Amino acid sequence: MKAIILFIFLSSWLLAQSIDKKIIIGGVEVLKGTTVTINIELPKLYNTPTQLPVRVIRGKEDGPTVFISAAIHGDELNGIEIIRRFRTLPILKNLKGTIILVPIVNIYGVMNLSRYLPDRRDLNRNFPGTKKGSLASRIANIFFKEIVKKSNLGIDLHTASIHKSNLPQIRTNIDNPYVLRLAKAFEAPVILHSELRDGSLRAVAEEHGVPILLYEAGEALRFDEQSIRIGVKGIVNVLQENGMISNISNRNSKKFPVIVRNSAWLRSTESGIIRTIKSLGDTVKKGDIIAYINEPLDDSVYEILAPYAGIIIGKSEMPLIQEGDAVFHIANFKKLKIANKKIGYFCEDAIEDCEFIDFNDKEAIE
Amino acid sequence: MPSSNFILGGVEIPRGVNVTVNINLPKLYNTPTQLPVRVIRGRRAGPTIFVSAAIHGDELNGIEIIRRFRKLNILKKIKGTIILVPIVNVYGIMTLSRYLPDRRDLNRSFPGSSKGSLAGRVAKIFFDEIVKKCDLGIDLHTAAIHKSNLPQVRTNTDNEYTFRLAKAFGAPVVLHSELRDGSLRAVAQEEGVPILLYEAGEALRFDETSIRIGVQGLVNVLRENAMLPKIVRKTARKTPIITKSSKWIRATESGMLRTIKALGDTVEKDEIIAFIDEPLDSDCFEILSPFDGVIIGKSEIPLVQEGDAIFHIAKFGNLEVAEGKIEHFNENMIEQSEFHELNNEDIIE
Repeated sequence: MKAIILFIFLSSWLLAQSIDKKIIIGGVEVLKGTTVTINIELPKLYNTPTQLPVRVIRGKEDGPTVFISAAIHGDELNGIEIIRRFRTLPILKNLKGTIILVPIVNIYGVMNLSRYLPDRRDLNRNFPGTKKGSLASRIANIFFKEIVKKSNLGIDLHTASIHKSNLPQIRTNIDNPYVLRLAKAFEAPVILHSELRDGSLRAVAEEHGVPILLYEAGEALRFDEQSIRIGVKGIVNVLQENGMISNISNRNSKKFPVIVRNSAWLRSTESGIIRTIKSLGDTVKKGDIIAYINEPLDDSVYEILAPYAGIIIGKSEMPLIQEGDAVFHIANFKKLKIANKKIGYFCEDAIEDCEFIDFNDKEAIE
Repeated sequence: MPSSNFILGGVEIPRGVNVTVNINLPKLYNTPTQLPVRVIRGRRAGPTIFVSAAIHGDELNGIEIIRRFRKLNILKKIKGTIILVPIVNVYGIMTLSRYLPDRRDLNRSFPGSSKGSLAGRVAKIFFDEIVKKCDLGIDLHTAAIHKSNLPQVRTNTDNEYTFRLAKAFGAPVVLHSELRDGSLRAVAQEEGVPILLYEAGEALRFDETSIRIGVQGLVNVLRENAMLPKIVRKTARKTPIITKSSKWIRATESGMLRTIKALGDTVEKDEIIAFIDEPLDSDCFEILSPFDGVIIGKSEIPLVQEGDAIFHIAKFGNLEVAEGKIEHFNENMIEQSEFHELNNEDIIE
């Protein structure tokens, strides 16, 4: 099975390479060695013209085409800043192949600080979309046809949903050796095997032979410096691993993230005011108290316990909770000592000096 | 006011009793709604003060401040009466909103009326049942949605009594603040009930430092107000940063916002405090500090529109002194508290 997937991927990749292909996006041809911004027309928001801004960076030499997208959910913003920092890196001058940057896919959602489109649909459940469908479906169709289908690989940047935050992590199909190799190269502290969701970009792109790495880091409607730094560096690492930029970093010091197959969102058994006492990246033993639920004037306290040993990779940031709400996302991982060491290593390293000067002179977001 | 008969929500509360009273509010459609109030009445006579939180339904730190405060053993020694109202805007909490279901701001609807809007009716009940029976009030707030505040007490610094209590609170900053029409503070003051406003942290979030400073601040004010026994200090108490003038700096452009200063940072005039970017454009607009001061409030959301408030800066000339004070007040708080009950609390992460 793995071999077949690899074969299909390799053959499609080779096919793409064999033709000195034209790259045309939004009706604009992008020549080798040029960088252009293209605005693709989208349905108007009532009477306000709306466009999808796309940056295409095409190297002088041939190579794969990779898209990097952010804010498919309009309130997931870290990726916008990741792309802004990434696109200014001087190493992109020696790019082999093409990078398509789409910093805000859900333009409408960003305007409303909302995950959704104005028709209340989730863009990431509407792929591949149709020309004659709902607004969400039309946008999905444009993005899919203009960007995704022209690429060999995609990196889609997300954060946790509203009032939640994620430890930087890559979600992908770890049974595909090619994407697992790239996922490891990204060097986020955690890789989480993740099943496909119907209508999601990842599911539909993969059906069309375009594997997707999903980077999930930080909180909705917030910037997080660490998530942004790991993200920028991660994209560079993946491009290096994919042979698109030369290895300027010392790949001998390769780090191996925690790889997890199982995880679950722990849900609240009570409604009330919640105090979470564990943070992202903490390891927990089975039975550890991780949160309390209180009533404001009542002395009864409900304890929320970790159901198994693992790592906190997602958490709720809001002190109000209702029965059934997700509180902590715990990755099932038994070797807590190793986990502690790895997560400390990855997270500290990201905030400290990075080998690219271009990353270090940035003002840290407070 | 401090008579021996104390009646709240139709319930008489004798001295030396600690009781929860539920006051009926207008139903939320068909769901019965009540205002839960805890009254702690000391054996000995003394002033009556209320502590309220979540007048804005999304400002939550005060709920946790009251929860920790009411468990302190020291309250057994109280002289007078404390009325705790952890959630004034019960409706707003349900919808994670600052406002009431009629879209009104409760804190602009005082003193209210029994025949007015929903906000007016709730204001009236709170004002008549609680505020009017008190000699002093402490109202707990956070910044508005997507903003956060450095712990600060806002009050009328020209009133010697409230200024003394504000300093005693022990928050890093005391900010002189004008009254707003229809606010609890304005209307209570007209009725002779001075109010200290504690502003700390972010809407819809808990912040451990803000909570700790708040709990200790309530105790400090009660001591200063002779409701709890004073403690003998080895060293003189540090005074907080006291400022008469502050300003919200507003965005001159729309776009993506990168704030590069944190709460409590000192800034010089013309220092860069934020950048506004376009996702695919190399233009970058700088936001500069208009004067020397301390950052006491900031926006937490990276999206900004022209006119949006980004940083709240308190004017303060001597930045070195300011830095020392901020450090002193923040460090003291996360370290050991004098109350073992507070040290036993797990830190909120």
